[in-house]
Amino acid sequence: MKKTPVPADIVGYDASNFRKSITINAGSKQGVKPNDIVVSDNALVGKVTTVSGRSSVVQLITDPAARIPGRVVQTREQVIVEGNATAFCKLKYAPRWAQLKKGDDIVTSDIGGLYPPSLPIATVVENELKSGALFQSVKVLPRVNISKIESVLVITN
Amino acid sequence: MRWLTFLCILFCISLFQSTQMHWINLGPAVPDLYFPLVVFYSFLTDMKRNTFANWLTGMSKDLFSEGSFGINSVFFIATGFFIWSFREMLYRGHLVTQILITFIFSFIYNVVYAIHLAISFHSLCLSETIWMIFCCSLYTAMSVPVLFWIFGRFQPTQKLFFIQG
Repeated sequence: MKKTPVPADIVGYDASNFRKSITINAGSKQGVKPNDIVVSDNALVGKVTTVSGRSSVVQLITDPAARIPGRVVQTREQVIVEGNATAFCKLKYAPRWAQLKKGDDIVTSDIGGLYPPSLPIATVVENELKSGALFQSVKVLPRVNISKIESVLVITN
Repeated sequence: MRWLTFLCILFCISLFQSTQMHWINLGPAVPDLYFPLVVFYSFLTDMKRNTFANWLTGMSKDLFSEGSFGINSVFFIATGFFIWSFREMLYRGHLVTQILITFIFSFIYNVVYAIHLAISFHSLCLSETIWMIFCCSLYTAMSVPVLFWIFGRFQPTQKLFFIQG
């Protein structure tokens, strides 16, 4: 499967405070399709949700609807990275026995087939283990600071 | 009420909100320029015009936002109706009233929107969301003096002071 990167500039941001998406100036005419993944600085930014002729909407990893299969590099635990409309994300289903610590890296997992494996997503900044809980509560910081980037690469299949 | 002026204002707000507001964010919070427009027209116009103006404002926000299409229209129409229904009790021409009403209703609107999101996606953190709602509402209310002055330049605002109903 050949993957071709399409460079694009960010031309718009979401009008709502609770949704995190960007509009880029590459669309179907440049070969962009829904579910193509978007990267910047060698890290995951999000995935394309809506495509028109010369522009597309990208759902960011911090969007509350975003769920990305991930893996902790240091412990190899399988997790789900979930956006929550802030600058941070949460790890879902991080087992309570996982030895997570601040600075651990989270990368994409190819489970589901949407994302390529081993693409950096985020870094662990805080984890808490509540008594009786099945899973840890883990806060992660995305590798890409969305507010600082101006252009992205869309990886088209 | 001049509809052409309203549509021009709405167009400019949509452009600013989706391209420029990002540069003046406070953490995750950016001012919602649509909301002062809802409050302004709820203060200014009668029920029918108010509902239609708020519907257009909500649709415009829906167009530039991810999520269920029409959700902002419903929320803006409801908010506009509540403000319109008790506006006679308020001294609408006073800046403090305008700021307070914008803050209170923006807070309520954001809480309802956050509840809708929490039900849909189960992924919001309570403490961070409440803090973000507070920051957004405060930031939106702070933009009221400038925005109301701009809206007032283009629309007949004497109704805010003298005409009842």
